[in-house]
Parts: sequence; structure tokens; C-alpha cells
Amino acid sequence: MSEALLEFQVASAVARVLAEHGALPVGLSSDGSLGPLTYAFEDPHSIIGVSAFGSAQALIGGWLQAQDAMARLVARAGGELGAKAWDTYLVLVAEEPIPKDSRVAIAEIRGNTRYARKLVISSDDALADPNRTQESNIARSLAPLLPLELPSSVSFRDPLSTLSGRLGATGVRPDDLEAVISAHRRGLPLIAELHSRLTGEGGLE
Amino acid sequence: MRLGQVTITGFGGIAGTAQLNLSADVVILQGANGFGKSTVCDAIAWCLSGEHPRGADPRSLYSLTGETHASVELISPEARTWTVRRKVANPGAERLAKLDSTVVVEGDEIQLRGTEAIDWIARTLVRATGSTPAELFRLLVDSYYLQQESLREFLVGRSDDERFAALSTMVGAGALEDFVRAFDTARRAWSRSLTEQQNQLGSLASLLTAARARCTLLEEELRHAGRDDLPAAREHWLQSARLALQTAGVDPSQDLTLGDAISSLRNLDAESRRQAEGIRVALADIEGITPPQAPLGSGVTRDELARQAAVVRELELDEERAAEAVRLTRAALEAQRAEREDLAAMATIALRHVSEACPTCGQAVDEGELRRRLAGMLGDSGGGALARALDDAIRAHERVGERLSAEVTGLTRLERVRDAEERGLAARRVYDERQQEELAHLEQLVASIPARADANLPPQERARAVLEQLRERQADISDLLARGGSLEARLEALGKVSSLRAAELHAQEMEREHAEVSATLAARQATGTVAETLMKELKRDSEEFLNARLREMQPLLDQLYAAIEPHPTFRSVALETRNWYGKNRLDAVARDPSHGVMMPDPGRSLSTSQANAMAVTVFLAFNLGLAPTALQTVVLDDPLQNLDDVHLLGLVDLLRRIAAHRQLVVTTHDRHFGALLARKLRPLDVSRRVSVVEIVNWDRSGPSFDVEQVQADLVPLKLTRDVA
Repeated sequence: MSEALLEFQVASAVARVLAEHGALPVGLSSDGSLGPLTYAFEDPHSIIGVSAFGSAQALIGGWLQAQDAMARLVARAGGELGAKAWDTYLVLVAEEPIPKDSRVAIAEIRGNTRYARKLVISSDDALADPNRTQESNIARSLAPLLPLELPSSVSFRDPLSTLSGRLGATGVRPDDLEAVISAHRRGLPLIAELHSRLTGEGGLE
Repeated sequence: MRLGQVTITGFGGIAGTAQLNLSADVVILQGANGFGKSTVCDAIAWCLSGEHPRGADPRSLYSLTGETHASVELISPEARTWTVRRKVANPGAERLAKLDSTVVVEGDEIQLRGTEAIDWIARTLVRATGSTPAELFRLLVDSYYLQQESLREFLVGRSDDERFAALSTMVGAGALEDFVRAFDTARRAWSRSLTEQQNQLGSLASLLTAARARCTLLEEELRHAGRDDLPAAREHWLQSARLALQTAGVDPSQDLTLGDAISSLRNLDAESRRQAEGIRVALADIEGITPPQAPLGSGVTRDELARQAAVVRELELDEERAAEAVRLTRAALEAQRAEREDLAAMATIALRHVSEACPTCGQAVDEGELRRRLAGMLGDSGGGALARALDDAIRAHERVGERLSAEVTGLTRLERVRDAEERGLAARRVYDERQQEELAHLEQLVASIPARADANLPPQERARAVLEQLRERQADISDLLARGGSLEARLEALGKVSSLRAAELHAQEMEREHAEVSATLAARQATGTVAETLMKELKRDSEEFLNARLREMQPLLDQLYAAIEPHPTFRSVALETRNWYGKNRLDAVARDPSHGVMMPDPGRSLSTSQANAMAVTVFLAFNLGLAPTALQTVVLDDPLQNLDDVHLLGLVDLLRRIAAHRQLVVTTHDRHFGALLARKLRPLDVSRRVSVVEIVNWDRSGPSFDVEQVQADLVPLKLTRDVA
């Protein structure tokens, strides 16, 4: 990573997150034709360009050049691109917060779907949720490009079988609670069963 | 488990039969609005659950076969297949509720019908437990099938406690919720029964107080009854009673009891009163007879009456004769007057024709003389003697009439006197006879009463003497009865010893019962207290259990929501539970984490596009994160509705990621959207299949399909091929 890139902390984080989620980095040529692009990635579904700007104002002034650079990048694939031409994404990064008077212009850029879908990420997004790390916040902003992480396991244990372990102090012994649950399953009167257990009169049959 | 071949007959707008093969990883079903896309989705849901997802009648109005039928092929990851068939007759106007649908499951060595088939579907497709079969099947459909607007309805239309119950079932807490509900119902019933038992205890306490009071009263009565020498008083009284009865002519038995004596005395008292009343009435009757008032012995004899009658009869004969004389004289006078009138008439005529010769015979006549004589005939009235004789006869008749009238008056007066005298005599006879009868009755009455009375006294005097004796007897009997009653009451009080013992036993029994009920109630109240504590814990756990599942789901929900990013500042969505007035509730909330602002009801506050995008992410989070069904399929019916371009692209990108985990069936009315989906969800290896099913035509028999497979992109990396 070059010195210049270190200035772009948010963009660097974007690149890290994409790489960590399996996106392959695309080598950018040094001839300057892809200058506005800071990073580029590809996965089987999409081609992603990342363009970093110092401020929102710079972003508003330079995003079209970034889009052109993205077009040049995609053109490398020539006629083999096929349907993937519809899967180009341009991540526009502003390293500073977006001032109030730029928000309309930024929203318009986000809403522009020509050629590539645009994601705009600023330092605001990196700090969006103070309970998350910056990378986590950035990952959230990159969600449209990242694979889904499903819960590792979904269990459907019978919640009644572990009920006594979950309850606080109730004055009911676990085996008595089991007896009441058993009565419920057999369609017997619940409190009568509890009463008979509490008073030692034996369970209902 | 995924969907395969689907066959639909006579369902909704499909009157004939439509067959559609869904056995691909992604099925894009596109066609114009009204061409039956939703009908296909609804038929699948109806076949699996038995309910039309939109509550409509599944039967086609144009049914060609007379029945409504749908079959859905289910394919397991191991390529085992089962076919669920559901059928209902379609007899036209008959109400659906009256018709039974039949369900069959066939395949992989099973063939099940009816309840067994329904159980198999529930067991195989629904992971959740508890709740009713209807709720489970609703959960099944809710979890794989996103109808247009349905999730917004879930977020906006349903109440917060309904949302909690539905989501509890979805996360597998249905059995817990059922138990909590049943326990709460039982606890309330127990509490009501405690109130009833408290009331019962209160009643028992009242009865116990009454029993104790009765014991005290009986003890007091017994103390009072035991003060006198009761046997001696009883014997003395019996002697007096026996004497009184004998005096009155009643012969009492030797072993006369107190009760018998009192009864006999009461009878005797009544008899004496009846007898006394009889005598009083008889005396009053005798004194009430009035002697006749008519004069007797006036002196008018029958001879005097006869004589007077003879005088009257004689005068009546004289009066008849005088009347006859008057009549005859009047008749003679009338005859004479008629004759003179005839002569006068003739004289008048003759005078008009008189001359010197007779107009009749022609002889010469003295005209003057003749005229005088004729004139004399005209002026002669005649009859003077007869008129006087008539006047005399009339006067004689009047005199006789006057005498007769006087004598008749005399006779009438004598007859009246005589009649009055005869009536007086008759009344006297009646008076005498009645007095004799009454006296005889009185004597009979007096004779029937055993009493001492002088036989020489006149009947009325004797009767008064007997009456006085009866009055004395009644006074004696009244005294005896009063004393006898007192004795009887005291003897009865002595008999209450056994009553007192029974009352004491009863009171002891009541005390025992009161103590038992009191102890039972205390134990049941203790159980009620424990049940209340347990109930609070159960509700807390029920909420916590769901929260734990929601927390597990939250990262996925965050990913899905962020992928579409419906709102620029409210960048987080969550489902949160709360307990409000004892009920667990669930609400969706949107948050702006950077400013700590919460939007409590985003379904109502966001724009339609934003709310729909949020609803889709929540639905997908349910399906992927909670996995309440074993059906690894997501059916989205025209999700494009009301989504703007950015959200639409976000949705498509999201679906591309979902397709790696679920079979996707997406319907759309927009060919461009369909084409976009086909490009973006293109298969990247030969093992995956993406079908585009175009509804090319529609008529009353149903839709016609044109199926095309999307070609796989077998070299997906275009720029980094070498790197890869």
C-alpha cells in the first residue's frame, strides 16, 4: 500500500473489507488511465471500483471521472463481459464527513444507476454506529456487495424442555415444573397439578 | 425441501389445467397483470396449507372439471420426491365451508390421505411446535411466501400482541406460548376458585355462629324447664281435666295422656261454644217472634152482612126496573115525534097546492079551513104528556140509584171490617204455631246438654240456666288449656336435651369443617401465590426466549436491511418485544444509531417504497434467520410494487445472495425487471438452473407458459481470471 493510500483511511478500510469477504483485487495499470480509481475488485458476480476523495466536495466534483475510469476498467474484459456488464459497482469514498449542504448532491449520486450502481461512503459511515468498530460500520455500508452471513445454526429445540433452567426463583422445584408441563401436554388441570406437588399430595393421573 | 412440478386445475382464474415446472434454483415468472401469477402462488399455498392466502374462495367460477385441484411436488436435497394433492368439489353455488377438501401425499414409499397427510405436511415442512394446525400452516405460508403488501400488513395492520404471538410461533416458541397462555388461564381460574372458597368459608363461619347460638338457646330453655316439680303438676292437671270432661259427659280413658287430655278439652270447648251459641240463637229467635196487630171481635155478624146484601140486591132490581121505564117512555116519545114530523111534511106540501078543490079528488073544499087545519098541523109539536112522563121516570130512576149507592157503600164497609178480622185470626194461628216450634227446638237443645236445671222452670228460663252453666264450663276449660299448654311446653323443653346434643354435634362438625376449609384455602392461596410468581417468570422467559432468537437473527437483519438501505439516516431496523399490561407485545423499530434516535412505527412513517423495502428485508430475515420451515424456497409475488430504482437494484442484488441459500420463485409484471433478474441471477455453473417462465397468453381456461432456461456464465471472472 503506497503512502498516498494511507491518507485514505476509509477507502483503505473499504478495500480491506472487500478483500476479507472474498473479492479479488484487480491490478490497476500505472498509465494513469484509471487514475480516479483507488482500488478495483472482482468477484464472480460483480466488478467493483473504489474511488477515494478527500472531501464530499471533491467527490461531487470528481465522481464522473471515477465513473469514466470504471468504464475503462470494464472495457479491459472486451466482449467477454456479457451479463456481468450489469454488475458493476462504484464505491465513492469521502474521507471527511458530508456537510449538510452537500447531502442533496450526494443523494443524487447515490440515486444515479447509469452504468454502475453507486455506493457513497464517508467518514460519517465509518462512525455511524458508535457500538461497532469502524470496519464493522464500513462493512455495513458495503452490505450490497458482501455475501450473506447466515446464522451458523438454527435450532428448534422444544422451549419447554429447558424451561426450568431458564426461570429465576419461583418456589417451584424443577421436577414439579416438569410435572406441570407434563400435565399441560396431557390436557390436565395445571394449577391443580402444581398444588398437589406443592402440598405433597402426589401428582394427578 | 424445494418445489418441483405444480399442477393447478379449476383454481381461481384457471378454469382448465395449468402445469408448471418449478424445479430450478431460480424461477422468474413474468406476465402482465391479471395473467395469473398470483394465482399460481396462491394455489401452491392452498395445496400445502388448505387455506387461500388471501382468504378468497379457491374455486374457479369457470371450472371445466367440476372440481378444484392442485398438486405440488416437493423435492428433498437427496432428490427424493413427494407429491401433495389437494382437491375440493366445485359444484357451483354451494358454499365452500360445506365442502370437504381431500388431501393426499404420495411418493417415496408413502401414500397418505386426510389427517395422516396433513400431519405429514406439518411434520415435514413446519419446524415450529405448539399452536394449532391452522396456525402452523399459516406460519408455513407466511414464512416462505411474501405476498404483495402482506408483510407491510404484518408490520402495520396487526396488533402488537398478535405480532408477538405470530413471531413466537415462527421462532419455535409456540409451545412455550401455548403453555404460558394455558398456565395463565388456569391461574386465573384458580384465583376465581379461591374467591369462591373464601365466600364458602364466610358462609361456614356464619353457619357456625348460628349453630353455637342455637346451643346456647337450648341450654337456657332446658335450665328453665327443670325448675318446677313437673310430674306432680302434670298429675294434678290431669285429674282436673278428667273431672271437667266427666262433668261435660265425656268419659276419659284411664291412661289419659297430657296431649290426649288437651285435645279432648279443646274438642269439649268447641262443643260447649257450639251448644251455647245454639241456645243463644234459639232464645233470640223466640224473642224475635212478634204477635199479630189486627183487631179482633169487631161485632159485624154474618147476618148483618146478609141483610145488607139483600137490601142491596132489592135496590139493584128496583134500579133495573126504573131504568126500563125510562127506556120505554123515551121510545114512545121518539115514535110520536117521528109521526108529527111526517104530518108536518105532508102539510107543507099540501099548503103549496091548496085551492078550492081538492087536488086529489077534485071535491070542493073550504080552502081557508083547510089552510088553518094544515097550518095547525105544521105548528103542533105534540107529545107534552109523554115528555113529562119521561121526566118523571128519569127522576124516579135517579132516586133509586142514589139509594143503591148508599147501600152498596154500607155493604163494602161491613165486608172490609169482616176481612180484617179474618186476617188477624189467621196471623194469630201462625204466631202460635211458630212459638210452639221454637220452644220445642229450645227444649230439645237444652235436653241434649248434660247440665243441672230445674225441670219445672219454663223452657226459656231453663235454657238461660243451662247457658250460664256452659259459660262457666268454658272458663274452666280455658284455664285448664292454658295450664296444660304451659305444662306441654315445659315437657317439650325437657325433650330438647337430645336436640341440644345434636346441635352441639352439629356445631362441632361445623367447626371441624371450617378448620378444614380454612386450612385448605390457606394451602391453595399459597399455591396461588407461587403460581403468580411462576406466571411472571414465564412471561419474562417467553419474552426473553423470543428476544434471544431475535438477537440471533439481528446481524442477518442488519445485513439484509443494509443491502437495500431504504433510509439514509434510519440505518438499522429491529424487532423489539415489551410487556405492556401483562401482555407480551412486539413492534418493529428503525434507528439512527449515530444520533440515538428511534422511529417506533416505521411501517407507518416511512415512504411506501422505503416501507416495502424494509418489509422485504424483515421477511427474508425471518425465512433465512429463523428458518421456521423446512421448505427451502422463497416465493416473492411481484416484489417490485412501489419500489424505486435504487431499492429495486438493492433488492435484486440481495436476491442474488439469497439464491445461494434458497430456491427463489419471483413473479413480476415488468419484463425489464424480469430480464434484469435473469441477467443478475444467471447461473455460474452447470449445476444451477435459472428458468424464465413467461405467461404468453391467458383465457378463461388459464394461462399458457413459455419456459426458457438462462444460459450459465461458466467463466464469471473477467478481469482476474489469471489471479484466480
